[in-house]
Amino acid sequence: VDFSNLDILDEFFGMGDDSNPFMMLIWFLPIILFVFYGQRIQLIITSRDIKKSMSELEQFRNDSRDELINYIKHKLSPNGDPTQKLDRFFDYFTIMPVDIDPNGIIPKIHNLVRSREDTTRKQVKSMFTEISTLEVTKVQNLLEIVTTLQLLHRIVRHFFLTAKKQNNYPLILPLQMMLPFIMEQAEALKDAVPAFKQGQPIGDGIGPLVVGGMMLDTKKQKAEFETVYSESEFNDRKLILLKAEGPYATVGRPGEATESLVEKLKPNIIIMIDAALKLEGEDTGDVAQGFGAAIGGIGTDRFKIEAIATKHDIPVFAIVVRQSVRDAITLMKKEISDQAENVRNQVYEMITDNSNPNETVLVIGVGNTLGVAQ
Amino acid sequence: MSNKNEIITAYTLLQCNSCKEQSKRKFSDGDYVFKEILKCSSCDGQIIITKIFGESLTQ
Repeated sequence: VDFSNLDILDEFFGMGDDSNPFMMLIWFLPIILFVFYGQRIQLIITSRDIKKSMSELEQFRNDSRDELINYIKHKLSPNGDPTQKLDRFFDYFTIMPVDIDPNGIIPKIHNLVRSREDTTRKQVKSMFTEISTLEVTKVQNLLEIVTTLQLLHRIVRHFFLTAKKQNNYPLILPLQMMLPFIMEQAEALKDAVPAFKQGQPIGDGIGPLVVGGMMLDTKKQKAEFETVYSESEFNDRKLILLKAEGPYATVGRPGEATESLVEKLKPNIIIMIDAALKLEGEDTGDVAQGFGAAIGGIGTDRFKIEAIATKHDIPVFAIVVRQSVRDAITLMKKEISDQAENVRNQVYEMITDNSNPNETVLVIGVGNTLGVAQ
Repeated sequence: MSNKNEIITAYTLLQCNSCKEQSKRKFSDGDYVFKEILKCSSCDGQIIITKIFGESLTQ
């Protein structure tokens, strides 16, 4: 075909002639289409991505559920088939207290969280004739992973289906924006399952790892439920070392333990070591020092530590090891475990710099102590 | 997001608390940090697990 002569095409499309009605239709049709159906078109395009993420989320949830059920069936000895009971656990929900009047909300949240933990523990124990504490804590954590994945899937599905049902594109926008963060969390949760099954230390365990090392060859005493402390000496200072009881998959009860130890042993300073979320661009395993109670979670433990420190006028110092969400809940990376000695030295330096001889220092290793004893 | 081709292997680091000799092996079930393993073959000191960590191999 000879395209060198474009006169026929030029005549047909009226190129160069703006008054051609056919050409005007070609230009106006998409404009009209996008004005009236733009949002629907965007909804269709966005839906495809969200659907893909949703099926991934469902897959993560199903895989982790199956892994937990297989783990219980094959590694532990449950009384009968636990599937039905576990499926009921995954649907457990928590109704947060009314916060219109926030006064006194912390004890309410604390009561809610503790009763949920206690009930789950009892339910897990009831599935077995005999089960070790380590296995109970591992199953509890695995249950929490599956429940969170299920919740994420349900929330994403709810927003997606509501937007589709109402053909409401703006409703899908926040979901589209949040989805990468949700997927990052979901993928981290899915990847956390093997570490919890095998009882391996996770990134969040850096605080217990540091303090656990300081507690070696000391007499361990019970401070609170699943929480231990010991006394030691350094440079004429008395050290009180506190961490969750390892190698169980637990964070212990650092809030209550700090309250009772402060009342009993009257420390002059408190030093807390914890994992902290790194910002984009920061390296995993970066160590930073600061002030204040370094402890995550829902906030009740931090509240208790801040309150008791304020009551007794005790300064609180913090050392954190930066890591991503994924690093914090999956097998501890070498970059993080390699910082244990460095952090321990920084703790000793902090003690020397901020306390005087014959004073008492409370050192708290915050985090899940799975795979880390003392 | 994790690298799809990343394989993470768990290792256990052992150290004698007397002669400080270190050895590294693959993680095995039942390992946990500060677990006392056995006596050191060279100095009869106590060998304990000092670290358990993951190292990644990118394919």
